[in-house]
Formats: sequence, structure tokens, C-alpha cells
Amino acid sequence: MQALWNAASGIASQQRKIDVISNNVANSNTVGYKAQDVSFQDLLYRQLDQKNLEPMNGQDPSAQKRISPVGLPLGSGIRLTNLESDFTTGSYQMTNQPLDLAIEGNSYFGVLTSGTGNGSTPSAFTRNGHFHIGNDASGNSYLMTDQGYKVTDSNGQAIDVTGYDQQSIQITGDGTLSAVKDGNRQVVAQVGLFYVDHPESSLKPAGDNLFAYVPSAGNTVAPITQLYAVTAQDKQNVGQVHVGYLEQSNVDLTTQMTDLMQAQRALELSSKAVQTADQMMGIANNLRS
Amino acid sequence: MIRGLYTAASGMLANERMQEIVSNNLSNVNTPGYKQQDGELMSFPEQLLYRIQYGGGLDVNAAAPNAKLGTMGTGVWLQESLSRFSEGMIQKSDQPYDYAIIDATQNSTNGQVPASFFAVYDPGKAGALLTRTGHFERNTDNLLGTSSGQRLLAVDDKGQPVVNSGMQVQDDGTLKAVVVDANGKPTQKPFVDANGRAIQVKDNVSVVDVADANQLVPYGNNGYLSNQATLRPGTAEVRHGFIEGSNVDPTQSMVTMMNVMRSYEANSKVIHTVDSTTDKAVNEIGKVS
Repeated sequence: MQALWNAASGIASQQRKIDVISNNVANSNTVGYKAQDVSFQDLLYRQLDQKNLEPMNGQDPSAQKRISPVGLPLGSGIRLTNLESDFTTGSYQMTNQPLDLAIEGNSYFGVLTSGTGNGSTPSAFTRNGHFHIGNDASGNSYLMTDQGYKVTDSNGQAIDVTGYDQQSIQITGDGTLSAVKDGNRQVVAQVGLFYVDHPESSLKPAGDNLFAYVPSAGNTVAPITQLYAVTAQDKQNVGQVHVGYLEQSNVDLTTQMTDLMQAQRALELSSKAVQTADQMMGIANNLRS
Repeated sequence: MIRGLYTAASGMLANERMQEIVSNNLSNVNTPGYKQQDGELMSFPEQLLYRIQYGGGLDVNAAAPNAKLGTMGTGVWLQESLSRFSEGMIQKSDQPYDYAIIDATQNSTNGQVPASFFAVYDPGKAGALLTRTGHFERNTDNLLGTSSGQRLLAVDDKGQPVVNSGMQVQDDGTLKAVVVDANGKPTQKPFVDANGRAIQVKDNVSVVDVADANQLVPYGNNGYLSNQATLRPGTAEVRHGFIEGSNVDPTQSMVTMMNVMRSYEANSKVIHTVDSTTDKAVNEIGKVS
């Protein structure tokens, strides 16, 4: 019975929406988290052939007249088409930590998931600016994210601070990281800010507060032209760094709660339709008992 | 055989189709731009009953013609499934490319329902597909499209959608209508009609009107198929930053579902009764114990 499958698709889709909402609510306090949302569309319709019944002799000609084209379109339910992240900026929280950075504008920190960088653009990005100095397996000290991934500079290299006085590390508003070595303050590197074209289609959440860059299929544009590191001249266009601030999650709990209630009621309606279809099938089975 | 069996079976089949339509509506209660479908039941053509009189025969000009008893119905069928094009609930949206169609006051002349739609291009169908769902996303070429990848088409000054066009987001955030090639990539070519003359195309998200919305056939992916010749310049307002929700009425759908369920049950009772009557006629009449 097709009614059963239509309603089942409704339940499955609303369940996915509730999954996404609960993920958003669980991450409502995660630094740099971007809320996700789902899109729905209805499934293809099948067209049943029909005869256009003509009124018989003596009958009122307008009694049987139909107003839509001949044929009966019957739907098949609903499907999920897209899971998209909302890349609006979250609110800023002041922490006064010297290594906490928040980006104002449309750019991202570059992060290396392995190695120390070979000069090409990094494969992962994040908005989470809660950094610390940590040691990797080789004993060198790098600027790292919470999970131990190395933050890159403008050239995609990890920022190596081995040998510097780690208490003296300072980052200024354009991302320049400086530290004291042998009594002299020196510039170590520039924390890289990367402008990503089309974040909604090229950045996919990869866990650990990271977004993986996904070049789109069929598109031959090379990463270099889509991402470019911010130099001093074009930092006005794509943003600047605030030291001592963290960007909070952009999840709005009010809209998430109302979406949750709506999805829950829609799921209940579909489950009632499943029960009714089930009862009808039971009746049909008992026709000849 | 006994006529009542087929009449009741037609009732059950029509109710089964009706349940399919209702459960499709309920599973799409949250889909933006979805229009509720209403199934229209129609009775089968009626048969004329005669009572054969002695001496009459079937000749109506005889001295004692057969008495006309009247007409008898022979069943019911689901004649058509009409989409109801009333306005869904307009909600504010934070997505960057959400548009809602605010219908102009409906002028229903000759029983025809005018309605406005966005025109999108689906690769599976030649010509434009019409949709009410105003949720668009940018693809990697900066062209606007629906969440399943159908390209939004530009509308020319005569109100016809241009099939080889696309709406491109410029660097400053405004929209511009561009000509696309056979692969869907934007080009710099000027807009020309079939004879090569230049045509004017609007640079904002525009809608087209359909003279009779009852002639539209639902296709799936939130789209409707229409005969291109019936498209007219759009009269509705398009509002940016809002999205039109589904117009499904859950209360009415639940009541319809209860009605369908009990009607199905009642028809099955008729079949049971006819079955037991036939049972008596076959097994018990004339039985010599």
C-alpha cells in the first residue's frame, strides 16, 4: 500500500531533522560551531492513466467535468535534499587570554591535520581560535588548537616556537606572532587567515571543530585561486583578528526549539498516517477470513 | 455476479487512493512551498433500470412499454487530485537567498485560479519547471539554484522565463541575469531570442503567472509542469529574507484520514454481507439435507 511508504518517508525525514537539531543544541556552547539545517523536497509523482469519462445521454454534461488534465498524479512522500551549514558569525566572548583569537570577517584559520606543512594551502579550516603552545612527537613546540592540530601561517607552514620564551608570546591584531628569544623580541610568523569562496558548498564539517575543504566535482578551479592568504594590504576586505576574544557558537536556541517542536509534531502526524494505513491493510486482509 | 461486490470494491479502491494523497500531504507538512493536494471523488456513470412487463419487451413504442425504474449508481472513483494553491505561512528566514511569493489578491474569473511561481530549470524536462519554494543556494559558479540543483531562470520583459539563463551573484552581492551554455556554466553572451534580436531580461528574482493553476501537473522536487504557452508576467510580490511554508492543514488532513478509514471499513462490511449472501445462494438454497 503506497500510503504506508509515503508516511514512512515522512517519519524518516522528520527524524533526520530532529537529529540535526539535537546536534545543534548539543553544540550550542562550542566555540566556533556553525549551526546546520536541512532542506526538504517532495518525491517524484507517478501518473496514473485515466479515461476522461463523458457524460452519458440524459445526464447533466457538467456533472462529470474535470478541471485538471487527464491523469492522476500521486505523490511518494518527502526526501532530504541538502544539509547546509549556516556560516554567520557568532557572538564574541572576552577571555583576555593572550592566545585566544577571534576573527571578525569572512575568513578562517588554517589547520594541519598531519605533518608540519609543505607550503601549500591547508586542507582544514576552523573558526575556533582557542590556541595553546604544545609539543608534538618530535619535541618541537608549535601553536596548536585544543585537539593538538597545528595552526598554519600564511604559507601553510606550522608555526614553530621552539626555543622561544613561551610566556612572552604575543599576537597582535593583524595576526603577527612575536616572542622573546635571548632577551630580544622577534617576529616568529603571521597566523594565517584564509578567505574561502562559497563556504556553504566548499567547507564540510569534519569534527574536532574543523571544516574540511572540499573542491567541488566537475569544477576545475585550482585551490590557489579560490583561497588566498591575507596580506597586510587586503586584510581590510576579509577580516582581522581580535586577541583575547573567542567566537561563540552561532546556534540560536529559540529557533532550534521551535523547529524541534514543529518537526516532532510533523513526525507524529506521519506516524498517525502509518497507523491508519496499517489498519486499512488489516481490514483488506480480513475481507475473506 | 452480484453487482454490489464491485461497487463496494470500487469504494475501497477510491478510499485507498485518497489515503495515499492524505499521507503524502502529511509527510510534506514541513516542506516549504508544498501545496496540499485534495482528492475529488466522483460517482461512476449511472445505469438505467427497466422493469420488464408482460407483453412489453424492450420496444419503448409498444403498447405496454417497460416501466422505467430509475437510475442505479455503479460505484465511485477518484477522478482527480487537485493541488490547492492557497498561500502557505510566510516565515522570516536567516538564509541569505530565501524568497517568498506574496500573492496579489486572487482574481478568479471564469473559475480559473491565477498563481505566481518561480521558474527553474530541471535537466530531466525541457522548458521551465515552476515552483513555489523560494529557498535557493549558490553553486560553485555563483548561480542560484534550488537545494536539489535546479537552476533559477531569469524572466524577460514579456514575462517568459529564458531557459538558457541563470541568476548569478556578483561580487558585491547583487544579482545579475546571465546566459548559460549547454553545461550550465555562465557566459558573457548577450540575451537574444530565437531570431537573434536582443531581449531585455530582469536582473532580480522574478515570478511568472499561470492563467489556470489547475492545469499544472506536480512533478516532484517541489516543481510543477506547465505548458509554456500559458505563462504570463508575474503579478505577485517577491520578498527577500522570508520563506513560504507548506499550506497543508493538519487538522483537516487528520479528519479526512479518519473519514477515509471508516468509509473503507464500511465498504468492507458491505463486501462481507454480499459474500455471506452469495454463500447462502450457493450453498444453502435448495439444499436437501
